[in-house]
Amino acid sequence: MMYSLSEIAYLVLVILILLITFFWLMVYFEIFNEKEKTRKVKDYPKIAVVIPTLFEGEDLKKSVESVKKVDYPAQKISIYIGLNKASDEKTRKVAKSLESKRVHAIDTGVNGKASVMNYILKNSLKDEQFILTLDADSMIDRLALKRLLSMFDDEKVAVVTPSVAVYRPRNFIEKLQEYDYIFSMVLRKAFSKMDALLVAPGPGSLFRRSTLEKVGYFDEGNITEDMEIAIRLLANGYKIRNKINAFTYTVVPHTTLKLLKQRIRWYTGFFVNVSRYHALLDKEKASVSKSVILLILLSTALSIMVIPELAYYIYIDISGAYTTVTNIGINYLISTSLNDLYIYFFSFNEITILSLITLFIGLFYLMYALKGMKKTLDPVRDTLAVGLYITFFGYLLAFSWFYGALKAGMLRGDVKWRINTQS
Amino acid sequence: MLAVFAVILMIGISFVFGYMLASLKEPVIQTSLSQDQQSLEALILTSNLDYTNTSLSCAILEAGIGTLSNNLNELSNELNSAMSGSVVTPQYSQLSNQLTYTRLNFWVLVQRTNEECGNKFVNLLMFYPGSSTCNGCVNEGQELAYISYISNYTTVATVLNAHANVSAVSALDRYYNVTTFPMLVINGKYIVKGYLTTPQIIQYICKYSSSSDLCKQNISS
Repeated sequence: MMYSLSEIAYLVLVILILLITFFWLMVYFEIFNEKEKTRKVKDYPKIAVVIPTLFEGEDLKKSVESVKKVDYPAQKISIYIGLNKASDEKTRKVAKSLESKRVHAIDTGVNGKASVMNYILKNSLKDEQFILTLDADSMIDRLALKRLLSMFDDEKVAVVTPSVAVYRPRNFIEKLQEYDYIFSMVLRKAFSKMDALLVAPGPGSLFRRSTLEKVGYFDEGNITEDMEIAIRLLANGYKIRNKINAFTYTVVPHTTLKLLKQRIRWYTGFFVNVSRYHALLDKEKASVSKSVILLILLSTALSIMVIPELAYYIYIDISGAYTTVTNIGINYLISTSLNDLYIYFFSFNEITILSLITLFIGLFYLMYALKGMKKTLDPVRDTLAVGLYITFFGYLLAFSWFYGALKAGMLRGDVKWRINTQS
Repeated sequence: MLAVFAVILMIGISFVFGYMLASLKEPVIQTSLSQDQQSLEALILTSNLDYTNTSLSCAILEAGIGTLSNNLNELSNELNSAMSGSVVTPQYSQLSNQLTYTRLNFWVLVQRTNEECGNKFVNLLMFYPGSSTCNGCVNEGQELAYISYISNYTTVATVLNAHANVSAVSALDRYYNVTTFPMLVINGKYIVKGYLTTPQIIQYICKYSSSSDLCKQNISS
């Protein structure tokens, strides 16, 4: 008996998923078991903290307060709050109320996150050597700044990214995102180890100012300027490092719809930027390996494919059961269910076993990442959360990736920031 | 490289365990098939002895056919489950052919019983394609099992793979001109092509075999 075409396709998919899971698992082993090469911070360079703001209001206070509490000489830090042209009155008032010798509220008169940051970088900075970007709804951990700085061990290092965690998750959607952010922390560390970290997230990335000036600041027309700058830096031969124990905290969307919109924006931006810069990434001076980018794209493609494939099998099973129930009735099905279970044993074969192994390794991969970051695991809570993550959140992510890819294809790179005025 | 090695190892483990499972399943199926073949042979022998005591042999046949029909359906399900999606199928093709042949003999026996004992059974024969996809074949197979069950096995269904490598099946394919699937033959004479819902199957049964218990129970909507 030979495999049918759909069985061959399924088998190839399972083997690829297994291969990629093993690959990343081995990178994770390295991350959690090796001592990181860092530089001891002796001299404290001046740092500009740039906080672009739009409608964040009171949240801005928490953001600024967190910077004031960092373990770093206060006189070496300047905080620049960048107000959008469209910023509301409340946010303006909060920004003005925070002004001091170290905190500057700047009405930039421009719109868009990248434009606001560029305005400050070009017009307001003094002699700071490093720039920390911080979203106005994000906070930085007290120990993060020194840890980020310790990773600038090479002139080629242009930016060091933190581990972004969810700030006080409350509802179901926020708690699921807490797990997603934890998995992202490890994945980003893994990407950075392979010189393929394609994002310098807004909440807490530390840039070398001179490099940022050399490459021409942030792209003002880009919806994901944090990805664009990262890819552009890599394309120009610079390195992006990640410091896994330098934490920043961000407020996350609290409804499914808002989360979906955010993810679609991220993934559209990802595809737009990768397609825009793929030629640049091919350049000899680019510090990123093409094969690694391909591996990341393949991992993404598999995540997109595996969920619809599972959905297809679930649909086939459910529609078959529905037809049987409507034709035959549920009572007969229940009366024969024990016998069906016995017959199910006969369908166990090498593909079933390989699928179960892949599922087990996949779960181990997620739990290992979780253990590495949280240090202790709650067997019930964390297992339940991971289960929900790979089902509910998995579908949401797959849909966002898929829709993002479609949208990026249709937009062909023509993606611009739009500011919706607050109602 | 280590990841590739690990994956090769996992594939190897899966295939070894797949082979071990197949080795466990095969004798179970083989034993069930042998038992059913013996039951069938006993029934065939009984039907051949009808000249000595017709009413006795008919009573034995009636009791035996219902049970054997159910057993053969289950065995067929087990074998199909074991064969689907696996390359580790040591003797399955041979078992499948044996089962097809047994089911065919069973269908002939029911035909003969109907002739000799007075249409005691509604004898259904369903064809499905072994190698290509068929919308509704699985559902119709389940519906036939259900109809057998509610008729207290006075309706017996034989499900045949029209593409089985058995010469007798090829002869039946030609005889009934089997081209579309699923295809239902009622009492060896009446052909209904395409997928049918349970009430539709019962309607056809009542149309061509009005003495069926199903029609008396007025189950059909």
